[in-house]
Amino acid sequence: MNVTDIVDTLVSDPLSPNPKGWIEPRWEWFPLSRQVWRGFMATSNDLLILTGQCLLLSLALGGWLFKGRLHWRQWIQAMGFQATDALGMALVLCVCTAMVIALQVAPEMVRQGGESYVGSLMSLAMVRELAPIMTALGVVAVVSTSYASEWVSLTNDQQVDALRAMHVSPERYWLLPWVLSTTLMTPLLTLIGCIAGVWAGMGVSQAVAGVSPSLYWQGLWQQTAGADVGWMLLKGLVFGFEAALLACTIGLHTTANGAQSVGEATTKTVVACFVVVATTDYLLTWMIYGG
Amino acid sequence: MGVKPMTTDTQQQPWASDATGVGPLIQANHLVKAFGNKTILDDVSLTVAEGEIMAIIGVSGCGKSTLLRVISGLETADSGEIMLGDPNVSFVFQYSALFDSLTVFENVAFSLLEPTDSGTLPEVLSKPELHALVADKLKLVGLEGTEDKYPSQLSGGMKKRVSFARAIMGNPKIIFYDEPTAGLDPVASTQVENCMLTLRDTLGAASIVVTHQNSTIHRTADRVSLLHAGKIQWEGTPAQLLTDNDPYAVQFSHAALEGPLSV
Repeated sequence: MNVTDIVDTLVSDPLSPNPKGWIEPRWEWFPLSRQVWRGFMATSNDLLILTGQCLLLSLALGGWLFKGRLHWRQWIQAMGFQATDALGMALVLCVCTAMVIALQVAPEMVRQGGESYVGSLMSLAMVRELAPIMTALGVVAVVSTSYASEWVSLTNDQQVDALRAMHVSPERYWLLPWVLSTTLMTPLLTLIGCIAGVWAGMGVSQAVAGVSPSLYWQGLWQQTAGADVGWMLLKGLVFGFEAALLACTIGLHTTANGAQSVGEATTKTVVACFVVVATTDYLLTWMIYGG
Repeated sequence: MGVKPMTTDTQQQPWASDATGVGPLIQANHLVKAFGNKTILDDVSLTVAEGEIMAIIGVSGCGKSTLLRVISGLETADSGEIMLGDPNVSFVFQYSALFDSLTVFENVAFSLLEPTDSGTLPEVLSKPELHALVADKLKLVGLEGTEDKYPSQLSGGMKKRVSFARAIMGNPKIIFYDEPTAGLDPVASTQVENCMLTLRDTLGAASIVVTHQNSTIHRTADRVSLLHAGKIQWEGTPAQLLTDNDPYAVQFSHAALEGPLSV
């Protein structure tokens, strides 16, 4: 039996309708149901297409940026939107997360005589991990959803066509400022969220377990290296870029046909951003701290 | 015009005038456009001369707007040839397409305020000159004094007229109108139709107008093309549309249910 025969044996099932023409196993050989297999193939297919679309859009936007054709007014407006709207969400998520950690950990640490480690633990949790991821989730909730839905609405209203008709690229006018501002603002939001979080953690630790603030800060500073803050900002940068690029790419490739398409683009954006941010977080953490 | 790159077998070139010096400003040859398996345009050809307004009519969904978008470069044809005789092209959209984050003034002056992708502005005007020009265009559509309003503060008809003012800002030589008077009251509709005639007469602009509205067809069009099943089925003057015995013209002009135009 040569390779061709094996492939034929694996994929041929003339009785099975396969409308998309995807490679399919002989169902009697595999316990997976046909629906699960086709769902897996469809998701892989979509993911591959989305990756290609993201790559093409980032190249196009990079081209505009390289040529110095950034639309400054739109960029400043987008930075302002994130500084006002996304900051609140990032603060709420970071502060609440830090308070929950303090609430769970501080009494137990004090009971076991590890009062001085509460600050260290908070540093490990917030600086290395939770501040970037929580801020990214806040940015996805506020910024990515807004961009995906706004783009589809702009297309629905023919504003995208109107811009093209006046020799102005909508990608340059809207998408480049959006992606650039989110990429630059997310690290800043992460830093602010992290600072607010560790302060809130200190307050809760003192209130519920009587942890001394000086011990808390001492532990925190001992644990926090300059490099950790740098990696935290890098994570913020990467997550911000991903959140904006995915929103813009999905918006750009959603067929604009009324309110339904706005909802579809927004949902797809949230799902894609959560999956990509979580996956990237693991990969980055593994690369930075895993070795 | 924001012309997208054409497919390999579709070209867009400057129109070369004929020996008399007066040639069509718009020429489309053998355009084919399909979405999936559905052919929307099937070998459509047309020409529009300088100072001429051509109306494209037909039942809803027959591909009129697609034809306009293909000729203007907003959509790419699958095959065929398009030649526009002047780069100064403008488009009036069906849904106004005003930028809702900008004021009426900023919308109308957009083409003179925002550099194009190549970084150029058509002309640099002083602030008073620009305000005067915008006021002039707004007056033309009966909306003087609305410069500081946002699109959300305007009615549907007013938005449409602002979009008209924006489209004529650069005194275009070629204008594409996608249902410019749909949804307007009769007075506003007449105002827009008068503007179309003024542009034709003063600038010699060549225009294609997609419309269902009888008043727009009969008041503005010099020539009418009836599109159905992807092809131009009938062509003539607005007067001939009422008198011709062609079954397409008869059914359309009499709004008859019986005939070759299936909805």
